Amino acid sequence: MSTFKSEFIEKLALFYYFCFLDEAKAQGYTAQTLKKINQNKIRKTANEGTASSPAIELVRITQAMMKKNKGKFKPTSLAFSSDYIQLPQNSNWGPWFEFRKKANDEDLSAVLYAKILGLPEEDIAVGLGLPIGTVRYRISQGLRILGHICSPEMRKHESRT
Amino acid sequence: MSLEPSIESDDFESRLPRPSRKMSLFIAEGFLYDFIDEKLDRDRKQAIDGLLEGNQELCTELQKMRKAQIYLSQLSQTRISEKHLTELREVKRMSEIAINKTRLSSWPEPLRWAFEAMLVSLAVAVLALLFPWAEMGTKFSGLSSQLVLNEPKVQVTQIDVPPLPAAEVSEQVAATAAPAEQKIKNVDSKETIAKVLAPAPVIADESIAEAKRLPVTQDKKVTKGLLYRLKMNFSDSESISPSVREQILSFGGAKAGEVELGWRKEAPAGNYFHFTLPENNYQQFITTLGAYGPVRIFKQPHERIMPEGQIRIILWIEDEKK
Repeated sequence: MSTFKSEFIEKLALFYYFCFLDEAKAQGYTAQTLKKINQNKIRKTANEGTASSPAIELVRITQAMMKKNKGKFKPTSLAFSSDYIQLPQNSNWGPWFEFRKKANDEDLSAVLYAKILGLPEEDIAVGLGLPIGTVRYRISQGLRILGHICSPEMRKHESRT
Repeated sequence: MSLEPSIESDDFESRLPRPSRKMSLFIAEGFLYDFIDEKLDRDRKQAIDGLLEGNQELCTELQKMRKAQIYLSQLSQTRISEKHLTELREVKRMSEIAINKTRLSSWPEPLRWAFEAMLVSLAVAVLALLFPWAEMGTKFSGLSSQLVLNEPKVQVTQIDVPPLPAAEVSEQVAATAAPAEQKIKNVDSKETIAKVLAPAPVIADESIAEAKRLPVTQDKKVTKGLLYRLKMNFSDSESISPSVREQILSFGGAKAGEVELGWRKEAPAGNYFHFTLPENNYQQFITTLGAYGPVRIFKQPHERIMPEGQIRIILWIEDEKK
């Protein structure tokens, strides 16, 4: 049970890290969300998974936070330290930073949930209250934007043609 | 023809002969994600494959999406450090976080010492303000003797009046009943002694005796001598003053102060007699004085020591207030 909770916390923290790209902000929001979880019945769900799956709750909580703090979820700079986050080898945060600026919140969160946090698409759909097709479409849109950012050579080729 | 993606294809349907699907480029772009994810049925997959062979734009789009997928799978390896996770796991309330931040142990050393010193001094100051010092002074007698500088000391003298003979009592009663001043005016001083054998009641009144505050810390020599203070009240003290002066002189009294015997003083009005008297004549003098009226006597310790057999008296005859 405690392992599950750790996983939940990690996913929550990662969501905010990838949203803000700022360590301090991410920490603050994670702590704030965890505090809310501890104070109400979401805690039961997060720990035991009785009411609905933790993935659904994670989506619901983070979406609620995004709506509540609309406009504040835009990154301004990259601020990470190795003390708090372990980056993969040869990682390049540039494309994600660009993607974060270009993509809208819907596409971003869909890509984030599905491809970074690895949540099941069905749970994302339930959490967002949308059909699964809409979720997949948003992921697809996000991938297109990110793919465009990730392929500078292709962009050059496209501009020439 | 339905374009809805079906993940599972029925065996029966798959066995049916179907014409090859024709898919527009727009639709194919929409299905690219499903194509990468391999969630398209066989027909649609074949249709997209066919389009990809002849369409460079779609191929580029597919490559971009695959690249994005690869990039995201790399980013998904990002992990939160165990240290930070532990911190987050312990998150309960913002107040607790604030308390942890303000914990004294996390403060810099000089600041911590300064804060502790300030707390201690504050505690001492509060204790000093609230401590009942006055009560402590009364509890410890040793301390109180040092604090009290002066202590009132009252000395009361009881004068023994000789018993009167029975035959003379009536005469005394008559004498005291008559207005004393008229009587004194008419008689000679020696005659008064003869007639008034018993003196007027001499009162040692504790209540009106003046309390002399003696400094406890001073030397003991101040209490060795005695000053006899006599006080009388008379309606017209000036009228009996010469008579009293004569009585003093007759008993061997002599002027002691700066002023003459019977010096008249105003506010309060009265006559002042400061004189020395042979100690042997004191009792007799008092008796004589009692003929004029009640005499209040008290002895006051004084630093001046008189010669042996001599006493110093201050007699004050004050006018009675009308």
